[in-house]
Amino acid sequence: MKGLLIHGVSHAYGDHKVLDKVAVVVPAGELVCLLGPSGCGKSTLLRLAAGLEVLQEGSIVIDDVTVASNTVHMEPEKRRIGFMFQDYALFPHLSVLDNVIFGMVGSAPAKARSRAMEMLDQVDMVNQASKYPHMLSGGQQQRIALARALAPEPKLLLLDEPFSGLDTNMRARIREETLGVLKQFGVATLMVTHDPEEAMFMADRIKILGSDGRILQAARPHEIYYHPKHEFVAKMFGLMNRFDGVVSHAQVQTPLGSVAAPDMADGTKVQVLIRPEGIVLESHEDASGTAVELLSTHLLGHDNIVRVRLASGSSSELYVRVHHAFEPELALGIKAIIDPDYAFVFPLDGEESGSSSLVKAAQ
Amino acid sequence: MVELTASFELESEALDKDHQKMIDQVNAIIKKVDAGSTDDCQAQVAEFVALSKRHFAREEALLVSVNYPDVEKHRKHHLDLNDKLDHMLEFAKMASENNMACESLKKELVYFIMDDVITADLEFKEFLSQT
Amino acid sequence: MTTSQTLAGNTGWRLKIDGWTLGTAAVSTAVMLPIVAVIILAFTPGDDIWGHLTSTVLPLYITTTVQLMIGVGTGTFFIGVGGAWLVTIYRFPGKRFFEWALLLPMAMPAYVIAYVYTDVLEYAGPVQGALRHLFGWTSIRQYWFPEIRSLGGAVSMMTLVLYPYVYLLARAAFLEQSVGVLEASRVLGRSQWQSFYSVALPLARPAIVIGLSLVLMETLNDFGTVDFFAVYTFTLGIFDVWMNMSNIAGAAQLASLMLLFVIALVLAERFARRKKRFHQTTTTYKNLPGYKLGSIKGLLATVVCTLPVVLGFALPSIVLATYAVIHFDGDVVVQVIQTAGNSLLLSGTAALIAVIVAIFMAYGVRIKGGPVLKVMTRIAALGYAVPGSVLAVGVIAVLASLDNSIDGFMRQHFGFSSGLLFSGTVAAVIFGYLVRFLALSFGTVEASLTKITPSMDGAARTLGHGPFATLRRVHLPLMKTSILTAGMLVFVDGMKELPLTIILRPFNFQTLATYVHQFASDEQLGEASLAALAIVGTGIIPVILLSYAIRKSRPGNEIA
Repeated sequence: MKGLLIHGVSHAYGDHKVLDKVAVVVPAGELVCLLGPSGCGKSTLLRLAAGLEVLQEGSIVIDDVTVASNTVHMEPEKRRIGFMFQDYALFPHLSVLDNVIFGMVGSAPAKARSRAMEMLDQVDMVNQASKYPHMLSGGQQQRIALARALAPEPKLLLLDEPFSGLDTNMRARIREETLGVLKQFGVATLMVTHDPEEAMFMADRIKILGSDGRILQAARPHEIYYHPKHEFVAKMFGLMNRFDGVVSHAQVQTPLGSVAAPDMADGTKVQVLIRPEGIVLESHEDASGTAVELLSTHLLGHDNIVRVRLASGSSSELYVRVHHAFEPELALGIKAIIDPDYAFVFPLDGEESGSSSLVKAAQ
Repeated sequence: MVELTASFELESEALDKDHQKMIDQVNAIIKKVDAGSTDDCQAQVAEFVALSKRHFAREEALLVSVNYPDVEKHRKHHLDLNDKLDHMLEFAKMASENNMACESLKKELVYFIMDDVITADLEFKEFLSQT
Repeated sequence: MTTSQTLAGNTGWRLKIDGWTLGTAAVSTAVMLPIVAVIILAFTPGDDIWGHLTSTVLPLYITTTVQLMIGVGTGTFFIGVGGAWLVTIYRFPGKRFFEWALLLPMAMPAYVIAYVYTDVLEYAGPVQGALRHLFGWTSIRQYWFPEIRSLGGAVSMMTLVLYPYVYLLARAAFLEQSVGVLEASRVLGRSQWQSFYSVALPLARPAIVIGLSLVLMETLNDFGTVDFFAVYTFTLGIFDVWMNMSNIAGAAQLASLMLLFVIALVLAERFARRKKRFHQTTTTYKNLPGYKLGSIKGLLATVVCTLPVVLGFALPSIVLATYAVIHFDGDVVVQVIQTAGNSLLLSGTAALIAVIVAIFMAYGVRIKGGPVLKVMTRIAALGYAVPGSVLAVGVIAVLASLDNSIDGFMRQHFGFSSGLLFSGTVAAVIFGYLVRFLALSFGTVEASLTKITPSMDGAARTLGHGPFATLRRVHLPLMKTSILTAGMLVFVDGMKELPLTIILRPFNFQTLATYVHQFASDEQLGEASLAALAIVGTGIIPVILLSYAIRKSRPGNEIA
């Protein structure tokens, strides 16, 4: 199969295990994101795939050639991969053009040059060709690094937090441009990031790597967001509201109504995690749901985050995401119910239970 | 097109045969969708889903019979994959009308067979070879 | 990542791993040997002069050395920190000029200005002569004039040429401080002076301590000044006991006692360096405001900055140049050219070897990593703290025993005597320089190597270049300048070096420094002036390099 196949890869630094039986498949033309908290083994996996670190256990296959296993270690310069580093690692003593030419080992100088100019054209940097890296902005450096990595026509592209060095405004634009270039080249790409939003934007498939070095879930972005299979995965995407409860007849009762808990035995202690958009506020007269009291509102642009408290006197607060058109100041008799699409039930494994609380993003 | 190259083989005859059969079906579906004939797509995907579930059952039974220690974990993994199979059926239903559904269906099929099924099964390859 | 196996440590370089460790171990052992030899020698029973020493000269040596250190420490602190604060924070006439001009006295070895000022200020010199002429005095009894050849004189001389170390580090520290903290302090109601005292100074303290410890190491090292002024410090004591009493064990005993001072300084410096890392308060920097001083205050600042530059550099240079012109003599020129050739040979060879060894060790640390190698390189870099006189004693002891064992071996197996192979040769001096100046080249090379991030290696490798192509196409071009700088620093310090050279040089072998010392201590400054100017001239090279580095300096660049 064209592309990258990693399986059974475990890696430890001393006693600290950062990868535990990890498997990743990236077919040609696809972009897979490895998403995980800082300090998990994400970058290590990239370095292993590139051959910058020696594999301890498992095997790595690129385009049907085993490049690393317990008997094989192909040198990085032989693997024909492109690697984009978090700090871009542009060579300060070479011009932009020479940076891009650097990787085209073995091709005739004139050919390498024209190919490099072609690449610079792709990333819209032709007029910077004779400049030096320190004269460029972060976004421009990022594009050069991308052009440099793609110029030798690698079989596999590895991206290590490729947008983390850019400011927010720039990031969205560069991200989109990069995705365009990648799709055009059709190269198998494995990207590492700790930013869930970035992963959802870029990836055909997201693999979530937990802090224990295990893959917790692998799926389309949509599935990751709406069907998290693991508490950790659910919490990756920002604020969560939480109720604890006990399963009874495949249901869990919460102050805002019941949530389905199929496949769970009666009596199981569980936590119910609800995204801020999973609580619906209604203020018309025949609205169903539980009465809540509004505390404050915070405009995010298109959406509002509203802080509410159950009217029944419970002290705990909930965060609710509502459409910007909803002005809480003008609302009366607000009631809240749960949208089951955004509510997830996970067993409480001996963890301390607080009846209802907010859960911060896990990253 | 997906192929079962040596690096994906479990060296267990029954399971490799299953995997090969599933791959053949995936390839057949992709080929059809690419050719634009999506009429019996739904039926084909349904067949694939059924085949996958039979494979899961066979595999679990085999793992139990050889006393594979992590059999519960693997069973849970199979259970988690049911959602994906359900979703594939929905994509297949839309395939004749919606081009994006076709694309997503193809992707899901490839990732499912290669990343979710086979590479996950590679975890017990070593264990099987020892028994 | 350091404990793990990284790219280079495991693949292409695998076979060399033991070579790195072994090589670095060999270098650090070679550097440690002279110091260990001093200690062993000091504790070897024999003609034990401890008792004699303690009852006679030792108290004098200790008090003089301590007084000298306190004096020089205080003087360099005020000039260095004051100057750094003025040029960093304020705007006044000549500020841009003083930023680098305040470094100039660094080019001047203490013994050179000692000779110059003695010549100028002694009874027969122009200053006293002019005073006598002016006031009509006829005898020394009619007026008081400070005696330059005294402890106070030595303090002044060393302060004038050593304060740039403190200035350099303090300025770098002030520049590193975010203007934010100073502004915060002002907003919180502190005056400018209070802000300096309660915010800027404490934040810069680690850097200042490093600068001061470097100054004090140089103070301990000095031989030329204290010899000429007859100020009985440890260094002079070692020379005295050795040269005049021919008592090498006694010299070693003094030297090992002196090592205690050195150890204290090294510890102070290490401690400060470690602390320095935590004093980085912020990662965002703004240009310092440059408070404009009023005309009176501005003038005062200009004068304050002018004094050390004039007294420490301009005046002595002018005096030397004048003498060189007055005493111009073809024979002297020929002699100076010859001795300069000797100096070039010694310093050049030492610089070359020091750079090669430094590159080797820096790569060892980068590729192999690990605490063992790090500690060994630290040890190898310790020589800079050890005074030349102490090192010389150790080098002599090591080479003598090496010569003896080779000689013994030759006699036993081949029936002839090889005699003294190394002792009293040019090789001995070069070895001494190497031990003393390795830290300079190693520090420079290592700093530049750390600027080549591991991801650059990774980029080169994944872009199809093997380890050696990476070395050739990425590392060498990036390190070229630093390697040259490293060689230059060792070279210049070798040119100025006096105590080591005097003790270790072959009989009748003159370098510029020993030449100047010989003639100037005979009160023949005229003959020495040309050679002294040559030394000062070479000394200016690193000053230029440093001021260039300061111009470009950004946070994180360590200078020392």
